[in-house]
This record gives sequence, C-alpha cells and structure tokens, in this order.
Amino acid sequence: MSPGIIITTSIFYIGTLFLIAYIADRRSKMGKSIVSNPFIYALSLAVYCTAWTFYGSVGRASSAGLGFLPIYIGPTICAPLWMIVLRKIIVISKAQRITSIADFISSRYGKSTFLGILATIIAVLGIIPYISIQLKAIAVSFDILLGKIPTLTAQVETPFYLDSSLYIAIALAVFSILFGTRNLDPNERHEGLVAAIAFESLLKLFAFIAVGVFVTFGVYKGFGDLFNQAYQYDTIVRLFDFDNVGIDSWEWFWLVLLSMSAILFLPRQFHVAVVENTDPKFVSTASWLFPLYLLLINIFVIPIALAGLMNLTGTSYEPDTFVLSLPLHFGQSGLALLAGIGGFAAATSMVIVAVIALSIMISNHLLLPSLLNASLIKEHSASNLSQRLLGLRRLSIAVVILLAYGYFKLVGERYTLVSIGLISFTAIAQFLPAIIGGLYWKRGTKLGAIAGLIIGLFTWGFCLPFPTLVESGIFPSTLLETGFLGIEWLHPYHLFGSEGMSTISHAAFWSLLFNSLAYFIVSIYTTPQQLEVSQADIFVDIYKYQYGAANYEVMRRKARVKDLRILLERFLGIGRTNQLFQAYESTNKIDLSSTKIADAELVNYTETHLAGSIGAASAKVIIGSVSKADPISLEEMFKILEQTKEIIEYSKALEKKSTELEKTTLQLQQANEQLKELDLLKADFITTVTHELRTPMTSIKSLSKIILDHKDLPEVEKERYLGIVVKESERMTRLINQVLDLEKLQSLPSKSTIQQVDLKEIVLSVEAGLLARINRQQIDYQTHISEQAIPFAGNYDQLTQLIQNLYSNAIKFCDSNKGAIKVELHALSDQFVFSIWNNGEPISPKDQKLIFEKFIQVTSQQSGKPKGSGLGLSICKTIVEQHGGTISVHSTPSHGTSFKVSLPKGD
Amino acid sequence: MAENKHLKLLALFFIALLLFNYPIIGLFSTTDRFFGLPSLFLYIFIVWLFIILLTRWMIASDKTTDSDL
Repeated sequence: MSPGIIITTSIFYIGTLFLIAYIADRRSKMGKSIVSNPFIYALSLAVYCTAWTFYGSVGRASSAGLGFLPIYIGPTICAPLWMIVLRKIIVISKAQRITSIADFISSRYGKSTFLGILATIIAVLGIIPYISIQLKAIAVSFDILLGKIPTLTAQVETPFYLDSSLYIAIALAVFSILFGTRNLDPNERHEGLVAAIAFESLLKLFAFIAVGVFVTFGVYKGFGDLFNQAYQYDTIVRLFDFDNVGIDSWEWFWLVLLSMSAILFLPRQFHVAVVENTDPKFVSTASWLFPLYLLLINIFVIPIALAGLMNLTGTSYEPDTFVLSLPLHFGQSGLALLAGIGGFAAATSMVIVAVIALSIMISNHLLLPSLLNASLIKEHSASNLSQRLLGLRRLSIAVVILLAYGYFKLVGERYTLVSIGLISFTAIAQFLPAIIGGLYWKRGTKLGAIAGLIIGLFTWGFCLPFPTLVESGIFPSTLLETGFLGIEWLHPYHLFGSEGMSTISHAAFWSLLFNSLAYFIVSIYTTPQQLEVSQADIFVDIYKYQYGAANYEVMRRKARVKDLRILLERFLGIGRTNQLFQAYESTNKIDLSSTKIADAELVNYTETHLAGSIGAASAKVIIGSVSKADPISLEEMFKILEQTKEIIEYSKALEKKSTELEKTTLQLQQANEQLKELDLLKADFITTVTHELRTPMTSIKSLSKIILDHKDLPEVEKERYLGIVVKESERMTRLINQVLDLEKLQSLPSKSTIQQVDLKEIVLSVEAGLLARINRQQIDYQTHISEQAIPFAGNYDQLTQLIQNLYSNAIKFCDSNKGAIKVELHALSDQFVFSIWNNGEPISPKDQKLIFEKFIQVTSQQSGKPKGSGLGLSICKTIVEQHGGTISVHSTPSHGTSFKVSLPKGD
Repeated sequence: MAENKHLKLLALFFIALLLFNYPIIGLFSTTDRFFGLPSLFLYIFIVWLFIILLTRWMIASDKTTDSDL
C-alpha cells in the first residue's frame, strides 16, 4: 500500500474526529448535548479497549489461548457492582468537583497536597509504559500497511528523525493538545472529546468484527470449520488447556483482580467514567452495555489468532499483528486499511484521554503547588493565570508523550503489548486500598494512604519496571541472577524466595499485600486531622449529603471579597468570574460590591469553583493564602446540629408531657377531692344511719328485756312497751327500705311499669294518710290543688313515694311550734307543677346545692343533729329525673323552704 | 427497595466471580470440544452473555428506585 493512501486516510480520519468534536461542543453550548446519553457514556468507557485489545489480544491468544480473557472478564464480573461503587464515586466527585483520580484520593484524605503528588507520580509512572505500547502499535501497524515487515534490529538502527513512531508521537501530542486544552473548563468536561471517543469505540469494534467475520466466514466456513481445521495442529489444540500455557488459578485470579481495578481506576477510565459523566443514572445502562461491548470485541480474537497461526506461522509476522497481516495475506488491502484505522482509533483514543487525564493531574498536583506562592497569587499583574494553566497542561501533554516515546525506544520494543500493559495495570491497582477504603472506611487516614501508596509504588517498581530496565541493559544483568545488592531474597521476580508465580501475579500479590497492610495498620495507629475527618464523612456517607453538599461549611473562613475576585479572575477569566459572582449574588440575594469581607459561604463557593479547574488540594492552598481559617469539622458540626435538634425535640416532648401531666394532675386532684368528700359523706352517712338504727334498736332491746325479765309486769304496761317495740321496728324497716329503694331505683329504671296515673289522686291519697299526723302536730296546712284530674304517664308507686317523701320532709322540718305547710298542684301549658312549702329552718345556699345528693343530711343549726336519713331527697330526685322532670329547692330565712317538682306533659 | 437491588447486584457479582474463576474455570480447561467449539471457549462466552442479560434484567426490573441508589 502506498504511503499516500495511508497518510490521506489518517488525515481524513483525524479530520472526521475533529468535526465530530466540533459538532458535539457546539451542541453542548446550545444546551442540546449529544453526549449526555447512556449509550454514548457506555461507548466512551470502551476507551478501555486499546491497541492492546485490538492487536495484543490476538498476539496473547496465539500463545496462551483463552489466557487473554481475564482482562475483559474482570470488568464483566465487577460491572454489577458499578451501580453501587461507581455511582457513589460519581456522586462524590460531582459534589466535590473532582478532576482526576489523584484529586479524588487527595480530596478524600483531607485534600492533602502530598497525596495528590504521590498519586500523580504513580499514575504517570504507571501509564507511560502503557502509552508507549500504543505508539509501538501505531508505528508497527503503519509499517505493516506500508509492506515493511518490522523486525527488532531494523527499528533500533533507524535514526530518530526517520523513525515514524516519533512523528506519530508528535502528531498525537498535537492532537491531544487541540482536543483537551482548548479552554479551561471549570468542570474539566470535554463533550467534544467524549463524542470523538465514542465514535472511535464504534469504529474499532466495527473494524475488528469485520476482520473477524472475514476470517471466520470468508477464509473458513464458519466457527465449526475453523476449529476443525485448527484441531489438526497439535500446537493449537494444546492452547485450550490452561495447564499447557502457564495459566493456573493464581495467575488467573490476579489478572482478573488487576483488570477489575483498572476498569475504574486507570486515569483515563476514571476520566471518562467519572469526570466526563453527565448523569450518574447512565451507570445502570453502562453496567450491561459495556460488558456486551467487551464480549463482542473479544468473540473473534480466538478465530483470528487460530487463522493466523495456521496461515502465518513461519512468516516474519508477529502474532501481535495478525489482525492486519491476515487481510493482507489474503489480498484484502481495503479490509487491512479498515483494520489499520480501527487499531489507530483504539490507540489514539487511549493516548488522547490518558494524556489529558495525566496532564490535568500533573498541572494541578505537581506543577501548580510548586508555583503557588503568595507573590504569584497576590501580584496584581494583568497576566491571566488561566492561560498559564493551559500552558502548563500543554507542556504536560508534550512531556508525557515524549516520556512514553523514550520508554518505547528504550524498552518497549522488546516486550509484547500485553506484558507491558499489565505492568501499568499493576501500578494502578495500588490505588485500590486507598480508594475502596476511602469509600467505605471512615477510619482510613491520610498517613495510612500515604504509607500504602509509597510501599505499593516501591514494590511495584522493584518487581516490574525495574527488571525491564535491567534487561534493557541499563542496570547490570547480574541483578536478575543474584538478587538486589546480592541479597537473594530481594530478587525482583522472587521476593522472599517466593516461587511459582508469574512476574505479574508475583508483583501484584506482594505490592498489594504490603500496600493494604500499610494502609490498614498506619490508619489504625494515626489520628486523622479535622479536615480529614470531615472529608471522610462526606465520602463515606455521601448520600446523606447528596443534596447541596457544596453548601456545607467545612471551614469557617473569612477573606476579602476583592481577593477572592482576583483569584477567580486569574484562573477562570474575568467573564466567567463575573458570571459566578452574579450567580452567587442572585441566589443569596446580596450585593457583593458593597461587601468587603466575604463570609465562609462565599469562600467555600470560590474554592469549589476553583477546585473544578485546578484540583481540590491546590484550591485549598490558594484560598488558604487569602483567608483566615477557623476550621470546624463537618462531623463535629453535624453532631452539634443533631444534638441541638435532639434537645429541642426532647424539650418539646417534655413540654407536651408536662401539660398533659398538669391536666391529669388537675383531674386527679378534682377526683381526689370528690373522693375525699364522698368518703366524708359516706362516713357521715354511716354514722347517721347506724345512729338512726341504734336508737330504735336500743329501745327495742331495753323494752324487750324489761318484758322478758319482769314476767309480772301489768298487761297494760306490757302492751304499751310492745307497741313501742313495733313502732321502732317499723322505723327501722322504713330506713332499711329507703336504702334499698334508692339502690333499686338507680339500678333498674323500669319503664315497664309506666301507666296512666292521676297526680291529683296520688297527692290526695298521700295527704289522706298523713292528715292525722299533721293535725296532731297542729300544723297550719293549706292546699291549692287543681280541681281537674291531672293525668300523667308514670310509675304509680314511685310517684306516690315521691310525694310521700316530700310531705314527710315538710312535716319533719316545719317549725316545731307553729308549723305551716302549703301544697300546690297545677297543670301549666306544658308541664305539671307540684310544690310544697314549709316554714322550717332555712337551708343554707351551700346545702341547697348538695341536698339532692345521696347521703346528704342537712344539719340543724339549732340541734346540731341531722333529722333525716339523707336518702329521701336523693330518692325524689332520681324518681323525678326518671320521669323526665326537674326538682328544685328554694329557701330563704324569711320565707321558709319550698320544693318544686316539674313534670313534663306527655305528648 | 434500593437496598434490595443492591443485594441482588452484589449477589450477581459473587456469582460472576465464582463462575469466572478457578476451580470452575479449571473444569472446562480441556481440549475437548462441544458443538465443534472448545469447551472453555463455549463456557466463557455463554456465562458472559448470561451475566450481561442478568445485569440488564436486574437493572430494568425496578427502574423506579434508580434515583434512590
């Protein structure tokens, strides 16, 4: 194929990418984002599939059969967990405006500057070999398309200015700079970039499947035919038993684990999955769509590898290039060109996102903190710091790519794509303890994270990249024979004399073991600072803070509004600063131009927005240079808040209870008084009743005794005594009857005995029975009784008793010398009224109220002794009420006492 | 509900971890063929598809709680 076609196609392809990015950026500015979509999000995650996947998988499969798969199975296994872990990371990162994985770790552990630097170093050291293999892949693929068959010696002897990979590296650097650093986005979001990456993901999938379909169904007659033919070769058959290709359970496990951490924590994966994410909900779609993408891109790896082994063994094509060389071998140059572009897409997407992610880390965590001194920030020069920041980014990109190129020239060419990629994976896996611990274990401290990362970094460096440098001749090769410094147990492949592990699983095991132990143990034995505690709380309990997390005052700081404005202008530009301040003014309804000292809220607001451009740690340092801090840990604050709330609720509850209690107490008091009164009354009553009973009893007893003892008593005397006994017995019977009556009346208000009665007749019959007594006592007795009969529906016996009681009372209580009684009975329009008046001692107003109660006896003021049983009026009242009427008393000293009964006329 | 869904996804993760690791992987790591395909090749891709479908089914099964996670 002529170089012209290849170069034209490449330029055309890059032009297409820019067009896509341009359109996506424009749509984003118009508010009609095409990137904010779960499918684009899942496709952008496929930046995971690099040249390693595109070329390297086939190469690996050619020697290890299905041993290439753990790298893709790991992400599939952990994809169901994304809804839990990745979502949480995204929510935290949005709330904290996290810009990179280094920023994430630094923020979690108290916005530590040192941790940011450390994580950046690990990421850069880990990813540079990875970028270098992309350069290698692009260079080799160009050579193959050009018809050159690359060999080791040919590459090494080429002078650097003729080396295609150098120009590819430069082109990629320019490309990345153009894509990633056109402007300083406050959220580090590049929609154009994401759109281009998603497009590249589709393209590489399409290209790879095209080659796979061609090989499987074009060269062979489907899977069955291909495997049938392949199984003719013993060398191929043996690939399908892991025991033959050096893969055991240990190796398999570690590869799966490494890829599980890589899918989220590789800087470029973190960038597309977290920083570029526009909606956490997209994770749900990605968690099944992305594994599906992996499945599709891997299904033809084995067929291509087998076809390559069957057709190209013995040629100088390396298995890593089968994807290109097979179409060429079968004369399909068009397909080969498509495959070349697919591989180019896979490599470029990785390089672009990786260097952008790394440049953000380098500029925010390595370069900026060293440039951050007070004079730089406070000097009032017109130089726009955001331009300088962009300059730093561009410089970082160039440096990273140059380093990758250097590594490629130095060592990369000696190794397969997969073996170098795994070195990177092991480096990135060092983030695992600090991040997972940071997400779910509040007790993890900054010092713990630092200790874990440092020991992990050194173990990794010693076990993996160091031997590659030894093999490249930079260090003496005796090291790999006798161990470091001649100490046998410090051998990079056999730490502590451990045997039987591949270099990768060996390094992964020891580095992660030391890393986790150091993280765990140091965390336990160190005390976190206030900011660490509050950040830990936010990260672990993010869903508690999810809404408005940025508003919590972590630090009570004060600064001059002018200083804050200058800072923001430096980093974000005047326009953006004005926008932010206006937004703040309108949401908080304050005028910042008239405010001199900014409150904590504005300081935090400025810091959060600054953090979006330069990372949390740098933003903290910068804001720190212009503000006075008075830190309160968030947890402390929440505790205080919660306590206050609790106290308020508690006191409210208490208040409620005490009012209830007061009420109850009052009721109890009243009840108690009533009870006391009743008790008193009862005692009185019992005294009276027993007294009443004793009086007749005494006379009955003594008279009976006389009769018994004096048998010779004259008959007349005997008769008189017996008469008294009978009378006294009757009195007792009456008293007992009254008590019984009252009980009976109250226990069964009988309606059954209601009949038509004549009230006049009742009154007259009662009067007739008592007339003798009235006359005997010489009482002035007058009546005004209706001439007509007064018919009423009622209980005859009860009504008789009512009238009887009232008469008895009147007789009993009227003046003992000149007694007078007046009785009236009338029929009014709606009721019958019976009243009876006597001229006896008046009843005091207090007694009038009580007189109808049970057991109440009015004590005579003259004799000091009660006359009645205390039940008569109570019986009256009960009877009247049971007939639907009322009874009342009226008594004054001058006019005597009258009782009035009103009974309603029946309908 | 969200808690429930989390548990389901967690269970799926462990199922996938089990099915995609030794010793089960080892059972299929032979040169035998089923339906013309190497047993391990067939096994891995079928389980892979099974896990994808199961994840999708679990996520689709209660979309309502999606925002509560």
